[in-house]
Amino acid sequence: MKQRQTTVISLVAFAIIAFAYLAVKAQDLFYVVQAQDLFVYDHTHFDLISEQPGWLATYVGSFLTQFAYYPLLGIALFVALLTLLAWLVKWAFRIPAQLSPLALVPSVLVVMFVMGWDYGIFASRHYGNLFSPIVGLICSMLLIGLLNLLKNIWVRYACTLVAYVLLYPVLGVYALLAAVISAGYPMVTEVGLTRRLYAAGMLVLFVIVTNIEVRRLFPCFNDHFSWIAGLPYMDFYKTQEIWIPVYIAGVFLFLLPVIVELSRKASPRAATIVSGIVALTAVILVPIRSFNDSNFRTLVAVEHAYGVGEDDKVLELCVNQEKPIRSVILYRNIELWKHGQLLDKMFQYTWSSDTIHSQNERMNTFISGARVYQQYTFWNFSYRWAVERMVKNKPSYVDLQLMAKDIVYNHEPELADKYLSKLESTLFYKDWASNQRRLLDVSVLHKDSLWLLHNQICVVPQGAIDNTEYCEYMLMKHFTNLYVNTETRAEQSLAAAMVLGNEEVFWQLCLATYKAHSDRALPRHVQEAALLFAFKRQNQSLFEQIQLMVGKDGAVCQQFLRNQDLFARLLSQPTQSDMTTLATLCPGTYWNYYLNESHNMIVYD
Amino acid sequence: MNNGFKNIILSTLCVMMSLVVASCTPSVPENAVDNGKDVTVFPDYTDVYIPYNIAPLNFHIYDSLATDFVSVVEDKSGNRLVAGGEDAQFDEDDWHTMLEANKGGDLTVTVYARIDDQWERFKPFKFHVAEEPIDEYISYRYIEASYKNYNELSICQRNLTNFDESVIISNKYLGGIDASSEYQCMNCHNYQNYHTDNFQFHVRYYLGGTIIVRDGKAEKYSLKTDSTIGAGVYTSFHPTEPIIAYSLSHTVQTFLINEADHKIEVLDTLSDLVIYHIDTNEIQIVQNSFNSFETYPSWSPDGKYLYYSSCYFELEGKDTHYELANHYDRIQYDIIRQAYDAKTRQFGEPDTVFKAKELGKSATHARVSPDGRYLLVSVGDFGNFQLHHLESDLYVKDLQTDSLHPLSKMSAMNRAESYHVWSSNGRWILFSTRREDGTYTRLYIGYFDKDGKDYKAFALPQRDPLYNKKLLKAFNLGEFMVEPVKISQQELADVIRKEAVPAKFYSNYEKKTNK
Repeated sequence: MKQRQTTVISLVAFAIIAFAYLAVKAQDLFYVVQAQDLFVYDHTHFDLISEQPGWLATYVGSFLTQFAYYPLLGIALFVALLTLLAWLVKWAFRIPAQLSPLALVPSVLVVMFVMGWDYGIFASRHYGNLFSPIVGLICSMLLIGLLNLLKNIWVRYACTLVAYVLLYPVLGVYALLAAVISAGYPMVTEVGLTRRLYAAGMLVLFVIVTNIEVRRLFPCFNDHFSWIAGLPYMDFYKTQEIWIPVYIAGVFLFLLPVIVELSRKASPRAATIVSGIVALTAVILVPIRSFNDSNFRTLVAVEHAYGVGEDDKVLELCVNQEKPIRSVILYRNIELWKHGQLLDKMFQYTWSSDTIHSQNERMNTFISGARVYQQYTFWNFSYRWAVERMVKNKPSYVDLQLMAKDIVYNHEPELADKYLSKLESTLFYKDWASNQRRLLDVSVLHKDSLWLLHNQICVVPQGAIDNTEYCEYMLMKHFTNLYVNTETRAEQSLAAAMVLGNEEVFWQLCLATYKAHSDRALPRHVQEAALLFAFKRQNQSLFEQIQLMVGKDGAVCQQFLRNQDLFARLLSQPTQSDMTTLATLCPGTYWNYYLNESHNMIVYD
Repeated sequence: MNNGFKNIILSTLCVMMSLVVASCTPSVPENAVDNGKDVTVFPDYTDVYIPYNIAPLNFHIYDSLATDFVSVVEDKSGNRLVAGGEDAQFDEDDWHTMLEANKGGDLTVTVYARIDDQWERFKPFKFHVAEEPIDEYISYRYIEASYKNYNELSICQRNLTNFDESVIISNKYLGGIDASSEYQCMNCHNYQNYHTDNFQFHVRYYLGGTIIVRDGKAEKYSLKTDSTIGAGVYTSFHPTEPIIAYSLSHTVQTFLINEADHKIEVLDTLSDLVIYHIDTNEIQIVQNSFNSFETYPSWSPDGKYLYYSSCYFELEGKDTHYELANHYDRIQYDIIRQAYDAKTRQFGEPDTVFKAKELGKSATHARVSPDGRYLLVSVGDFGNFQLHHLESDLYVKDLQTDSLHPLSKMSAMNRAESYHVWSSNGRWILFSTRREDGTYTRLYIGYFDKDGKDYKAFALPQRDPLYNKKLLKAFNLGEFMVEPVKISQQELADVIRKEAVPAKFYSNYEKKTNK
């Protein structure tokens, strides 16, 4: 009775700690992994998943992953299943009370695995990543536990083989794990060479069964991967260390029967201490092995915010990122623009971008291109990148949303219906899809603010073409092409002209903006650029006119005049020392961007 | 899972379900009232012409007010097929019996809908059963409707008399999980004279090469030589000789900013025409002038002519991509043919058989009917990648009378009809179209009678009538076959993993070129 109480208490303690940890650290991650997944009740989706061994774990995993739409619900479910897994490990391996902490190790390793995920979550070809390992392991433990109930060794072997034949197609590597452990168990518990040879013979049979089943049942599956079929896979090909917890879990479960046997000879106290240390070490390693890249955390938080329509949170997330990656800079500028602060604040924050900290090739455009283009209402280009990502990975909620929205605003009703119907058959995206469906009515669409924005910002001559490959470069190039000059577009065009240092376009738009802003001051960065570009021309009369235009007594003008000599030197013969001085005296200004940072202004990825 | 295995499971389930629901087979409502409305079904099978050996034309009925449906297919003798529910799915055996008995006749389809406990009867429509059968098999490629990226794709074959589909080759079988074993692109499968002992397809990327199956044995070749611009692309297997015609091209994509119905333009910056002699492993140039772009070769059924699309465009030669991309709407193709003598390996002079450019159009994918009389082409406003040109439609030119007309009943208006092929008896045309949603290419089949008249086409039948709506992949490169491909995927994969045999350049033809 006391033992049972201890077990229950330790499991509850584990559940509470795991929930608290994940709730603090992983809500955004859970949401984003969920958004990259898809679960719909239709046979085309089932056909896609069932093309490889282990599909049942994947299918159930995908079903459960959808609940992470509400991250806390997803985490609760995740932790509940981890707790069940721990209990099943204890039951399946008949772990004695003194070794109880060891039962938690596989669950902790699953948490470690998930927390170690990096940008690969944006390039996953597998469904149900979050839950399929737990579902698979639960099935494995259940199978091991049931087979352990069989006392007769021959019955046990026969049942193991039958179970493997039946379950490998649906559970893949998890069935293999259970079968190998179950067949190998007598190698530990039984004595005698003959018995051990029988166990080894079973392992050979598993190899034969696997090969036959893969060839007969999964003709399109590459049999090189038969031994890992069912494991989640993402594009981690150069970061194999992400799989370390999975390898450890596998080895640990193979060794567990041996450990249990050995513990019978050890003192209970020593066994408890050692097993406690092992479990504690695993727990301590979770935060250490987590992918703690701050840009990654910001990016998933931004994706989460956009996903649930909390765009207001994005700006704060982006501006707080110290050395942002390009995607974060793009999102930051979008939100500054939406908040009406683009021309006042866009150079207050760093433009030098960090590279994506991943050993695997990652393109900002691949990760964020579709959303960025969509924010600027470039429906065709957004659609292209959502499609590219869907094709490279798999159909997902987020890409279906992006595609559906692009196509709704492009007014392609039949195609929109295809995507919206998919989303309407999901549990948590149906309301969003129904809302979008309203916009298929042209009279509603034409009153929509995004549609109106599109007509201001994305107006080009008929048949205009461009290269969408590098999102930021394309946008800048587009906005400095002065097809039309609406106020909204002029704002973007001025920003682009300043980013690219395109003085010709800047002057055209600056004067127009000055006229439009006659009742109020020019935006701060426009003032800064105007003074700098006028000064650069070495035309005193122009420079004085511009001083009057921006307000001679204003703070911007005064700051420029105070540092006029420095600017003169930087425009003629810049030295490192002057550049450092500029960064100190004029941080967050267009001057600092233009003279110090502009070489970093656009990254072609 | 294996389709055969799936079919066993499905068949078992069907038998069990049939036994269970035998007593529940829907009966035809007796007191239905005519509502005078046309019924909306998907796919649109209303008043289509169908071969008598085609799989059941299952359809989905749309009516938001109805709570139940019954669909009845009836012949002139009063025999009936009845299906209940919004998805009308007919028994395969009964369907075939009925069609066989009604060759050359009509079947009447009546749909009943229950609305507020009252059965209503829609206006009936017809299935017109043609007397001519269709080739039993087709093959096609499953691919995402993508731009640049691709992922899993497969070349599949389908038995048209039922719903059996199997994989000829899938890149998933070859490729893998990580980037060290990315998936290959596979394309342009083509058979010799509708038979599958001799066929070919290409594999791109790290195991790249052209797989040619001859007399059921596969071999892998590298068709790129030092004297040609690249490996083979679009393909046509000579109907009798061991010769394959290829276009060679360098292709780029350019993207339109604001056109909803024209998001991408695919351009050839270089394209030439060659033939490959399998027996001697030699590449022979047919056309390779700098300012002309030749593509989509296609042999006439007697093998005496090679048809292709050709466009002359005066290039300055500085930045070809830039020049072409900025004038993409002026790139228009005519249909040319050149006589070919297999004994001497000599081609005659180019002869323009369809001057599409004079009509302000661009014609591609020339396909001559098996009787040699009709030239079938896809006609768009410009360019050669008609798959992305919603305005493209099918046209036919009578080579005896020189008359040209659009297949207006078969083609949907502005829905990218292209990649068409004739059945071996010349009565059926398989083509790809984006008529369902403007983006995902679907295969349709249309009847073309002996007098050269076309009829409304029907979608490739599927067991689940909403399959095309649910599927996020496209079909393309449909080909008719009179028999299934027999070589196994394993054999093909083994050959794909081998080193390619490099083709030799057949140099004595070089003097005809002006590059």
